[in-house]
Amino acid sequence: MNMQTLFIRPVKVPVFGFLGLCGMAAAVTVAEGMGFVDVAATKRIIGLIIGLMALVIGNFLPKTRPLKVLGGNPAKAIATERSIGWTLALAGIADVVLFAFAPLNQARPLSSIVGIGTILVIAASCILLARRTPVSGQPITEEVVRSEHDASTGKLMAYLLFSFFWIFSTACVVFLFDHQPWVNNLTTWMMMGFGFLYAAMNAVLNYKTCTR
Amino acid sequence: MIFKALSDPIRRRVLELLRERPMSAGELADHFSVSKPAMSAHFAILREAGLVTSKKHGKSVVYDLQMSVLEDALLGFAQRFGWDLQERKQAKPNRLKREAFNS
Repeated sequence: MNMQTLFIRPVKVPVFGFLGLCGMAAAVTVAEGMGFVDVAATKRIIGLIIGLMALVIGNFLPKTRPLKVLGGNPAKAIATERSIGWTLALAGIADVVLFAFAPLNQARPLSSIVGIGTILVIAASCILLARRTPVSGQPITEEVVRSEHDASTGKLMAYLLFSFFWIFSTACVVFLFDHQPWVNNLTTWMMMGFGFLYAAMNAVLNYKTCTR
Repeated sequence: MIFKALSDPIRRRVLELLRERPMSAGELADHFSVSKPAMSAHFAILREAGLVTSKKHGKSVVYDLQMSVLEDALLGFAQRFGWDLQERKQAKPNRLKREAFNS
């Protein structure tokens, strides 16, 4: 994967949008720590930011075509990308509306339910696609060499989607079980788990390079 | 650029066809009764708008869809209301003819 891939138009907006929103969330958290923003406003803003993340990533996901590199039936891949993109974008809109207008004690659990439902629908779409896509080693041909750009884009989107879904699922757990005493410990373990699973995903995605 | 790309019914139909699967320029052109240069112009507009990508496969060029959710929604709106506009444009000369006949 090269840096050139990062600046190609379909990928640029979701990647930099995601990083920008992460930066905003970090800034809001720091501002809360310094006393510039109260706790309730911080929770509302973080909820809005996560909704915007889902909206941005969901909107651009079908454009980046992350499933193209898997091969198999292109029609099924296009349909799956569209359904995942739409599901995520609608979930993002629902989150933004909830955190913009609903009372905070209702917005958090409702957005968790929306989030968990979204993750289940997306998982079901991916499982359906995986069942219909044959997994086979692809010989190195001219077509494979020409699709290296697609492979780089697909890999970048895989990292982005993994990071986003980890944040999304962590937020769903925190919003739903906010008042439970074990929530802080769970989120700490989830943050640590992110590092391990990210490294494992990196190894899997680069498997062919590692074994040469 | 997006609105220009979606304003033509032929280009909208091309996008609908590409939703099913990637297709070569020849396969797409077979669905329409327009000349090859005209179809090439349509493909160029769709490419410039970033709604499709093209790749050379031997002697043919294969087009693949590249639309965001927002562009997909705009296509849906354009299909619905653009079609109505086409009907109104066709109905207007008929209405004028009827009025001229009645008077």
